[in-house]
Amino acid sequence: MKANMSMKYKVHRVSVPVMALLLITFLQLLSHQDHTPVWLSIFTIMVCTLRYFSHKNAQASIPFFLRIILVISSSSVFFLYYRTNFTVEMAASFLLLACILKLIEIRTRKDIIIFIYTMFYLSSVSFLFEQGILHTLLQLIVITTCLYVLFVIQMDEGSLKSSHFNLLRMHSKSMLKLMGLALPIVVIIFLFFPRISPLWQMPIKSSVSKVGISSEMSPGDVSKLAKSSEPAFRVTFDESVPDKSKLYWKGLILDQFDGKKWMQSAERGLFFRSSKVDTGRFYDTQYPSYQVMLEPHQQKWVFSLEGSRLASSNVHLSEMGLFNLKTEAIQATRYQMEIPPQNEPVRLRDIPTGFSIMQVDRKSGYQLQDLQLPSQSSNPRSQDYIRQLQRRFSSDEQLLVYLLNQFRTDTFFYTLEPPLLGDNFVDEFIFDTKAGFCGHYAGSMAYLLRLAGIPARVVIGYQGGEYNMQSDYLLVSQYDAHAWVEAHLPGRGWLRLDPTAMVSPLRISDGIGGSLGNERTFLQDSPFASAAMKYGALNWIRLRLDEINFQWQNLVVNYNQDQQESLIVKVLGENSLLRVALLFAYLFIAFFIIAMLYFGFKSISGYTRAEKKYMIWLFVLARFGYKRHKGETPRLFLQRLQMTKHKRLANITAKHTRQLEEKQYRGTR
Amino acid sequence: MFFSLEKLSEWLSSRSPRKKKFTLSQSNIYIFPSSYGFAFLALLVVMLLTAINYQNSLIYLLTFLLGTMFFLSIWFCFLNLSGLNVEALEPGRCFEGELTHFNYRTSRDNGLPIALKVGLDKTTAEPIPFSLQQCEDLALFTTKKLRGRHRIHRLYIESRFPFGLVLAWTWLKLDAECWVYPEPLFSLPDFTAKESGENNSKFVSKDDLSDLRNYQPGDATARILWKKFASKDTLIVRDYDSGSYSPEWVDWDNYSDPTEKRLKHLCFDVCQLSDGTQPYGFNIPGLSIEPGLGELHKRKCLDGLALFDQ
Repeated sequence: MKANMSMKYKVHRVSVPVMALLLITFLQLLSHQDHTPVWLSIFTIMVCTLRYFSHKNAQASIPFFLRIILVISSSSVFFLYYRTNFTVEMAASFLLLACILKLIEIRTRKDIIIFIYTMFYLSSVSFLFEQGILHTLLQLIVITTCLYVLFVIQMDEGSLKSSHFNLLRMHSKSMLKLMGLALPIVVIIFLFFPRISPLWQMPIKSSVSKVGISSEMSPGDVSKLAKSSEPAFRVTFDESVPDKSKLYWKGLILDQFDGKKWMQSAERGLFFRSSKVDTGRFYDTQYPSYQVMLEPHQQKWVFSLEGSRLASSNVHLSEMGLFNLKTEAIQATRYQMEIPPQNEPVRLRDIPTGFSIMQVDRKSGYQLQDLQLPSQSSNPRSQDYIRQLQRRFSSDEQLLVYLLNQFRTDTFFYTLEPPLLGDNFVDEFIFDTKAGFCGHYAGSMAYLLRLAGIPARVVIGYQGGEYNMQSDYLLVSQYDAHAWVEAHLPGRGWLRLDPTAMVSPLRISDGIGGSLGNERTFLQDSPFASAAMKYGALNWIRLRLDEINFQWQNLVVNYNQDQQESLIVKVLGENSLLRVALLFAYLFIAFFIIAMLYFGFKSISGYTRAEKKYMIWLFVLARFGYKRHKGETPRLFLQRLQMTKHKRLANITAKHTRQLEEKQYRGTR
Repeated sequence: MFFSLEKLSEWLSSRSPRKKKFTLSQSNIYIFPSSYGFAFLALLVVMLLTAINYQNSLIYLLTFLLGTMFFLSIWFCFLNLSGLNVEALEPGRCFEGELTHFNYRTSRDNGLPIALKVGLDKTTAEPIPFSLQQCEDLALFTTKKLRGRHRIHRLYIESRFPFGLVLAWTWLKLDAECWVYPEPLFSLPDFTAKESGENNSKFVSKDDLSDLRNYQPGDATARILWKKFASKDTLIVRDYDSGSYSPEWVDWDNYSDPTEKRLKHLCFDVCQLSDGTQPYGFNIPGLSIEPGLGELHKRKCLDGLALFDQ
């Protein structure tokens, strides 16, 4: 006989599942390392190591003085590092630090539970930064381990007798059972739980740097992006995908030149101030439209084709034909654009690479900014050159065409690895090195045009993309980054010019891989993509993986109010809260009944499973008016049934009776 | 007053009659979120707010996953207790000064009872060790008690399986008993207390040789008088069956101490005599037991002592 003692004063000591806690901490650190400071990672690894060894040496905790030192040092570093600027990154670091400090002195059940609950929240915070499918799987492991820890500390006190392995197997089995049961319920709730608009504004994180175009461009910047194969955005077109040469994804306009860098003259989009997150409601479109799924780049700017009009609620028109998101793209964001035929860029016959474009005027301060020049002293040779050209040509248009043709006829060279340039970079580039990437060409061209008194500016964005036939979408990667020029000619309006296309027409027709695929720096940072470019089979895999990511973003990450509404209309016929509530009520009742049938009959004590099955059948039979009399054996009851005209019922009863007899009297369970 | 605590407890006790065996089901299991469960729900609310304000699908997904886990753990918690049979076994027996204990058995037809805590009330409930067997005989030890026959007021069983978020518990009026006997206390017999020698043969001279006879093969060695063997070198046994032997008596009148102390001395005598080989009789006011020997006889005597004057 075993005893359980009841004493007045007992201590709730549990055997802390240290290894599981360390695993959770480590995985959580892994998923947060992109946006937490390095010292925190080092600190975490230090504490984990300490904790591991104290656990291994069967010491309950780390010595007191050491704990004090760890707490004081880490929290002071934290405050020195972050000061008082509150961002989401700071919140994540704070929670992570709190967990680590808790890990030092975890002893009681309460400690463990606080630790686990904080980890749960930290998991949800991690989704603010990263929504990829791999990250989600990683977090799923974290959550499962957390639940496992909760499970184990519930059990361990009573489990003195059975062996460790048996327990582990048993626990895992129960856990899997729970998770398996939960899955369909979670999917249904996810699909139908009403998505409501944000209740209040939240701090949006600021300083995470992601690969992508930025609001400043010095000559070499765009070529850096050619090293990366990360996706920038993916586009689905309602109609056929336009020709590659038309796919100029306009992102930003750089209209301020300081002699070295091109940048934005002013922060645009400030007039629209609301930082409530909007996941986007698509408007009905009248014209050919396209939907862009933007990778989270933490910025407000979005990419659109020339002549687009906005067709979703989360984007608003800025100026000069640009669009902005209402809040930074902190997660995969989808927006829709449409192109009215009258807005489409018109190809010009007399200006090479030239397209006339509409609706790119400034809202105010017309053109002055587009003629801005850096100080007089820089690039003297260019200034002389333009003065010569101005004497030679009577019209701006002739000068512009001459300049463009110069890029083709002269010995210019398109390369990812241009020689370094000094202070007068336009001079050196145009007259000496003559080798550069699109940034060089666009920047120099715009500068030269401005010198000639033609309003001009640099546009950066992406050009082209890779069409995925299987899933019918266009993948635009970072290496598709591009820079080109917009110039204004009196009488002709704004033009889009691409000096790079003059130098290397392949860049536009075949993409950057076609024109520069053999250069060493191309895709330097993405060895897999680089290999995939060369071998067809690998590229096939790469495209399939990208498809999975796209589907994940489409179906899960970007499942929003808009999509929910259309799903509800499809399933329930009408979008009303009442119907959704009814659906949930029905599902709940269905679940209840199933669970009752499954567990309820299981829990009626004194009956075996076979007997219960038979009893359920008897219950059904009773509905048909056949009742087993008291004391009547199943066999006799069956014989009585077989006398009646209900042959089908009798047959089924025969089957049930046979099963019952087999189960009951064979002696095996 | 329309509503009174007495009425409530009356109603409660009518709902749960005292029984030897209980099977837990929805009629006697209560279920409610534990304090950690409420903290968990608060956490879920915060997570939901985060999901709404950042319009983040994956946080929604995580919240729903954990919420479903909570919902399912209500079921699993209930099912862990449901179907559990609790049965009172034979009464526990102990002496004053020892911890009283109640014997019971837990079993279930399918599955194992996991992570159960059992006690007399919430604060003192202790986990019971569970094995991979479906049936478990257990003893619940409680505080020291005075002599008498004790019953469990109510047996409390709880489970927080599987995640500690939900607490399912039950109060069972289990008919489990514990007999507490007086503490055995040695004392020299008080000869002055003897009023009449009629019933008192405890101190009959052991030299009375009327029921002695020679050893025969088959006699129990315990009956051999070894002292005689030492002096006379013949094996002599005492013959109980001869009829002439008069058994010893544990008698109320052997002692003159106050009641409780006297009971302790009597208890000591019973214990000692039951270790020996001679039958003994038992006589206290209100109860007289014919001489006998064996565990059952001893228990009867001790029961008599425990219940004296109660």
